[in-house]
Amino acid sequence: MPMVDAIREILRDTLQLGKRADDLVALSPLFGAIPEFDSMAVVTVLTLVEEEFGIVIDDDEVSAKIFATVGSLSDFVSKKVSD
Amino acid sequence: MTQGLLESFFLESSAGRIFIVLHRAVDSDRCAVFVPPFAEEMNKCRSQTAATARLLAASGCSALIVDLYGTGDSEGDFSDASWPVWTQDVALAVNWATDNGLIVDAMVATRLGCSLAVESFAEADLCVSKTVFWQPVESGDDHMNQFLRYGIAASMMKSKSGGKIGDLKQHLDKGDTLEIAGYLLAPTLWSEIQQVRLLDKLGPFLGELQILEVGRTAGRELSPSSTYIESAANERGLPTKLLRLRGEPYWASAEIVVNAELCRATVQAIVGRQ
Repeated sequence: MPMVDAIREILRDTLQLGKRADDLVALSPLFGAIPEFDSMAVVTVLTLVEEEFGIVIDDDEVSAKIFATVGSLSDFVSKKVSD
Repeated sequence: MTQGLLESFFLESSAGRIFIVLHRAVDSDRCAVFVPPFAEEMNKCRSQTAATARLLAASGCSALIVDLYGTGDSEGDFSDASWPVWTQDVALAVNWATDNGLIVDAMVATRLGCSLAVESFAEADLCVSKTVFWQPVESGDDHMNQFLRYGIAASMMKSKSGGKIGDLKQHLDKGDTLEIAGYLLAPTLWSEIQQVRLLDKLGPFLGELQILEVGRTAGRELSPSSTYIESAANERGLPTKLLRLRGEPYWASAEIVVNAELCRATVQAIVGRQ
């Protein structure tokens, strides 16, 4: 499964977006654009991503920039997985 | 299927009274103990646990659900809880069941509760023939880092100079109690959980081990964490199976979720039928 699709499914499940997640593409804005995606949800998504992909994300690496769009988040996770 | 009978009561633990729910199976003395996850995950999992317990009792195995000291409907504050008190709570519940004619020969543990259940059984010299882990957490240290992140959630997204997990740890190291996501985390509990490693105490007293993982796609490969636990357990000669089910993260999602397939798979693992 391409990373963008995997991230979309994690967002669908965590934020319980249901069919609304179908519209999420790489350019879709996230933080500040989806009401359910508040800072607490960010933490939950980080935890799920760590456990799903077996990576550890340092808090120094986390910023609003990573959560700007679906694409920026999936790029970040892809890079962590390949490191 | 005959519905089980629901009982609830308090037991006197070393720290205070702890709340127990027993879904009692009709015409059977078999019993499974349920050990909850940490902090908010326990609340998220309550419905999933209750639904599974009901199905289990209706399938001929009683289900004993423990509210750990300082959590749920048990006495005490979360900030007064400690890992040793919690391990004793689990053993207390199991011993109560045994003293009251039930045979506790299965356990269902969730997330950090897997380590708690294993330590509790190891220390109290208890054993079961079937163990089911829901989404097990291997490292208490990683789990605490993830929990502490809720304490810096707001500032994390604002600026690079915002709060850091390291700052929170410094406070805990100094002996301060911190409020994280509505929970008062005491330095002692934090430090005790940091030392926890699930693999350290796995043993034959767990019987057949089934890891049930819920993920966003059933067809996807299994998560590295569960796969690691499964292979480590098998290497130690513990018969272990890992199954991934399709579903939402019931322990973490914003709204409460009950995964019926997880209920059925758990009952299947314990009684061999639904």
